[in-house]
Amino acid sequence: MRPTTLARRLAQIPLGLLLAASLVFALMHLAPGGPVLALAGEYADAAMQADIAARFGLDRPLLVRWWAWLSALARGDLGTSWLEGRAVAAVIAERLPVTLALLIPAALLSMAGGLALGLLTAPPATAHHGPWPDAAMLVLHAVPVYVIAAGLVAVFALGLGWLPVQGFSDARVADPGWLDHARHLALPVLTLALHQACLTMLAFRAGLHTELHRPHVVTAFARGAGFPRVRLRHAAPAALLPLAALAGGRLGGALAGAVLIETVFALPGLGRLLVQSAANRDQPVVVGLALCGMVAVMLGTLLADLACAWLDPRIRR
Amino acid sequence: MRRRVFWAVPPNWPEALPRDAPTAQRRGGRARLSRRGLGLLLLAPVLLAPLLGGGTGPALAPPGALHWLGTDDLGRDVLARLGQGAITSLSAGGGGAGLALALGLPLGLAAGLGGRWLDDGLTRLAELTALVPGVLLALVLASFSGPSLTALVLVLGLTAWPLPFRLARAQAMALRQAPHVRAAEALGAGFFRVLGRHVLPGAAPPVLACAGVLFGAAVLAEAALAFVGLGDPARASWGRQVADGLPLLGIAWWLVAAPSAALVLAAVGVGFCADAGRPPGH
Repeated sequence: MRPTTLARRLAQIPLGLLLAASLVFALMHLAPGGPVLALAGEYADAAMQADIAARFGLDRPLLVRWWAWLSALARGDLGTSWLEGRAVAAVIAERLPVTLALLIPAALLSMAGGLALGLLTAPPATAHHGPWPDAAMLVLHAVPVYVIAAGLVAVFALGLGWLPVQGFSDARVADPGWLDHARHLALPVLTLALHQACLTMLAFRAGLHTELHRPHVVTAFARGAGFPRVRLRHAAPAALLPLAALAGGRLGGALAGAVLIETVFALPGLGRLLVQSAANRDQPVVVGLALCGMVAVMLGTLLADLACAWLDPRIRR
Repeated sequence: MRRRVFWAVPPNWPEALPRDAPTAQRRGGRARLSRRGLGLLLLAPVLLAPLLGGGTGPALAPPGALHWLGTDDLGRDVLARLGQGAITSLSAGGGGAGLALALGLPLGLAAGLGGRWLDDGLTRLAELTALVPGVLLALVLASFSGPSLTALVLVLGLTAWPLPFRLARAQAMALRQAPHVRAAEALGAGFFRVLGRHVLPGAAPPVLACAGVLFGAAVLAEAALAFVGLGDPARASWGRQVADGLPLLGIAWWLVAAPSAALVLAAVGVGFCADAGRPPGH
């Protein structure tokens, strides 16, 4: 990446953060209803509304509130939850491990599965299959995660009875160990991994398809290298590049998937916290979570771009 | 034999291909037809659903002659509920995709054909917008101002426009150097005539082909919000139908299977149809 390009991408981070923070602030304060109504409820009279506005500092001018919110953010202060009365950062930190325990294994599993399937079905081994592997993966990827979850629950939890239906630990056990958590996380992780593996496989197959017709791959064939070696050694490394470029955007999809999966499986993670806070109109928590999600996607996209530039000298220019 | 001037032709300019040369183009035409047919076939049940089924019956009746897709725990016909949800899903998908295209296509063409400052500004704006996760934003908005389909369509459209923008910009930049566009400029055609007559017809089809992706994403986003209970409460929705059926999964599989199948068919069917509208070679 050219130094100016790198500088531009890095300069986009604070700008993006400012934009994201201002966007959620505007949503919170300018949306119909506004925060006073959300706090006081629909049936509060004017005196009560004025009291609540004064207590939460909502009677100050909008620009003052915006500046106060930004300067508090700069200090790492996300505000206080209206429902729990605790710092939002503490509420989020408490739930973060569950979501990470869902996202990280699912990412690893979907990568491994998608790459293996992509290699196995790479052309020309399946040239006679036509577009069907891709079409099947497209259809599978269009299946919402909660439907995949319902199918897996119907088979592995209700039918075979191997795994629990939902929850993060067995309520009958006083001190659940990591094995109990792992049993409860198996189906959620598998659901997310299946959903994401489709996209991995599609992108990898498309990459392999272009690479296998490149001159250096044809040369390797001509020199007598076998098909497995050509695929693994000559085509696959270059075909991984589009995957790295997609990784940042994939993070957003994984976060949205986590919201749905944690709702289906009743996991006490960030996604469920977001849905519960949204339903309870606990605005500081919703805003904090939305900001964290946006920052994660932003940093993920930037890291993916940097990784691409590091992997591919052509982009560095 | 007439010599064809291949070296003057930009690589991504399908109109430049001679009519008779590659059979791939004709084969592409046939594949397009069949794929469009397949897409319509997949979409047919979704489009016909509002006309079919109705009434109530015994609770939790399995699919049969009277109730084709069975009834739910309140005795409502599942097919009739599917039909009501189809209207919500199709308007969310059409609205979200339409708004994203209506923003992305003109802005992309302007960025591709306009000056450097305009291009830089619009591209930076698109890069920034692409960083905002749409579904997350829709969730936040639903919790602040109450769930509404209009707000959802607005959020989805306003966050999805970078995709058609990028495609339109790339097309416009490639076509700006094309011989027929330069010829038109040399003949004294104005900016808007070049844009509307000579660039738009070549640039629009590949951009419109991404409408299927946008449509499917918007349909799935609407269903996801309804699934977690933040959908428009005044409207039937497939996502809420799945959520309602999930606790009864063990005894009435059709309550989950029917709306799930409808969601997948709608998302994929429109994708196939839009893909078929794409010119061959893209």
